[in-house]
Amino acid sequence: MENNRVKFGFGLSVATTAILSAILVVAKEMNTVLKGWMKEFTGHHWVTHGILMLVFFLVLGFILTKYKADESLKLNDQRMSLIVGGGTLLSAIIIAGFYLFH
Amino acid sequence: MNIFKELLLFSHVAFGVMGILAGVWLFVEVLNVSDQNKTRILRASLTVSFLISLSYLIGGYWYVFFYGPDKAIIKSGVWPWAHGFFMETKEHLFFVLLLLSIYLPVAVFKSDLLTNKSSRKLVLTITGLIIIIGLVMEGFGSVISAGVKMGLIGR
Repeated sequence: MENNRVKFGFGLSVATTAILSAILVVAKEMNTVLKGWMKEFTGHHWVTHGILMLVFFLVLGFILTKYKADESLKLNDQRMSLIVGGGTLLSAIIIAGFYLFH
Repeated sequence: MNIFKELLLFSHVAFGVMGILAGVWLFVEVLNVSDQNKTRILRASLTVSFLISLSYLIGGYWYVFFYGPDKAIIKSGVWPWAHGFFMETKEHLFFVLLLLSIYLPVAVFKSDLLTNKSSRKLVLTITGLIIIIGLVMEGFGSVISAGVKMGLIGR
């Protein structure tokens, strides 16, 4: 049970963070103030983006694990495969689609 | 010519390729899971995670400190989209690859791959995504390099 809690908590966090990262890409490219802040924070917007995503992934993963997201969302390995695969695919489509038409 | 810069770039590509190969190794081991290869599966997942993370860190360092002049050449050259689409997509899609690589050992260590078919499918899905995105990264990298070359030829 504890194994599933960690596995599904962090799996859900991977999918959520991947989609959020793609949304942040669009947001920072469309908003110069946001991109300027991200650049100022570490010296490069890409470094800030990476740090934000890594922190979000770890914090959300621990929260979902602690609050037993696997039970409340009735997660299992099969659903987790779809969630991780879907999140990754959606993120890739948003990022590539944005730069293709931007 | 800055040898350190070139060595960094070669290392980024080399560790990325080794990470993809380790992914293929893990994929095959999981397909043939047994009592004999359980430890190898754990080691392979850690190897993938380590190599992809290393490639990300080295590539990131190169991108932040050395990419500027190459970017200027590409943007003023005949293939400006080598930066506008390929580099921009690559640098941001790499975050997803990193997340999957960090998560891979968690999924492996927290699953009983020998008895649970669905767990095997989850690990195969994550590993397959790492291999596919890794190959896309390699392909995009070669287009970016060609973009610099095309920019220099046009001068």
